[in-house]
Amino acid sequence: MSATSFTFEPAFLALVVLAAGAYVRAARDDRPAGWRVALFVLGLFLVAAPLNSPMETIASKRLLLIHLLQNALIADIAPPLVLLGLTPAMRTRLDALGLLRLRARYALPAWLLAWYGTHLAGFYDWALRTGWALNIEHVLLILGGLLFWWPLVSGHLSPPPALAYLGAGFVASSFLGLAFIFASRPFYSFYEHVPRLWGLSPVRDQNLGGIVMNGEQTLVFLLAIGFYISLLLREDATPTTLQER
Amino acid sequence: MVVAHAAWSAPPSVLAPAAIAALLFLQGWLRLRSRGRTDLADGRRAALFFTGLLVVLAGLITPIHSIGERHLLWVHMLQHVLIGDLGIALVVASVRGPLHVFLLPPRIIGPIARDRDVRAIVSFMLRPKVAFALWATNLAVWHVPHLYITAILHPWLHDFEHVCWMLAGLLVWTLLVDPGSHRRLTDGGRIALAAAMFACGQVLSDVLVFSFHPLYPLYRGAYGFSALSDQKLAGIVMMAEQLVVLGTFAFLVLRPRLHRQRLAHA
Repeated sequence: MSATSFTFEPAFLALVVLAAGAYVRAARDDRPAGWRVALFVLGLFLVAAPLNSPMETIASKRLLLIHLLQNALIADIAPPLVLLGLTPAMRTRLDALGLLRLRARYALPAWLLAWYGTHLAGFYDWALRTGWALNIEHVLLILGGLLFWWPLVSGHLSPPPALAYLGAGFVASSFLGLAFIFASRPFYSFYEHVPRLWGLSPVRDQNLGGIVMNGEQTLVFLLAIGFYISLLLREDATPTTLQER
Repeated sequence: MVVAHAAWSAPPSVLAPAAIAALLFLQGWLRLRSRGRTDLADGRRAALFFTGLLVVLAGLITPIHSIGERHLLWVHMLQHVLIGDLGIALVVASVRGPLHVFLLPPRIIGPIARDRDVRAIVSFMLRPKVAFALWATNLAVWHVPHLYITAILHPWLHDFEHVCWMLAGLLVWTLLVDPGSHRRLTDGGRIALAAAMFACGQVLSDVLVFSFHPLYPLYRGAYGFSALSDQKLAGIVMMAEQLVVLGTFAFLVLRPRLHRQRLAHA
């Protein structure tokens, strides 16, 4: 199979269509702002496109680098975008369905478990060899991402705990990317035996994958941390302003 | 052969300022205690100060200095973060409150405090934007490969580099810790400054970690480290140290708020 040919994970196309349908239905009662719609659509696109395109072909048959990029897109970037696309009323409805009980102290370990668990060599190689099990890997990553970002996007955390939560998440998750960057032998035997692409050796491929993962997480987390710091600054400014008045 | 360079050194240019700093602290600490304010000058403050001083000295007189100077970039990076960040942070934290005013004897601090020019300069340097810009510029400039290597090859320039690290660290940590309670920054502002420092450090770390070629040709690898893995490790040292030091600082600043929120929920 050529590296540029399309590969599909139809289950995720169906999930995206279902999510879009549910969003349209919810939007009839509570019309979201344009920017929310754009974020939601972009989030869904970042789930559907990496898993149904030549990216999936390269990820599942050639390069770990692209597989890790794909995982970063569906687990770290798409979930917060999808959740930010929800209106406050939609989030309240999800809270009522039980997500209110999803505390940060549960969400963080659950996300880390999904993050590290899906990247264990045994599981990763098995998923790649069977093909169908990649669906499980991707579902776990997307669910993990949604769980992690929910306490933040739902507004249940004020800036101080949100910063602590993001800091803990950033530190705890960074070891995987660093392990890929520093490893001098390939973690996944699957990629040692597939045809190479772009002249990348398995180790260089893995190192680059770690760099992509680490860079992407740094960017996403620093953006989120920056946002909460701006809220903290606003909080700090309020009493002073009142005093001045 | 390489191990022979892992030597201790005791240059007077390091020991003399360290001894002066220790004496100044001790006289201030004792003076404050003699006034009955043992609460402001207790054993923990002394322990914090001397730990900070030892951290700085560890970077300058132990094999960290000799190995970092010629053999391993990551050890050199460790030296910089010890003398410019961790050590300084501990020292500044140890002199919080009135103790920092007692650091200089009255005969010296009086004229300095009354000098308008000195006050204007210090006040300008401690403007958050100025202090941060100086710190970031210092970080960037000294890591330019040509200058980095030149400094290693010229001891006087290397000493000057170390002084720059300590002064830059002193500026930002004075703002972060705020030993004089001047409130130049709110809690949010202090967190923002810490995050900005981390982001800057992260850029440098990323350059070192993500580069596939050694950037500092003087370092050819040693002690089993290749030149490239040495460089990557240097980036990780910087990242890890910042995460630990700035992360601890952020947690300490946020802790009262987290505690208040927990009480409000209870």
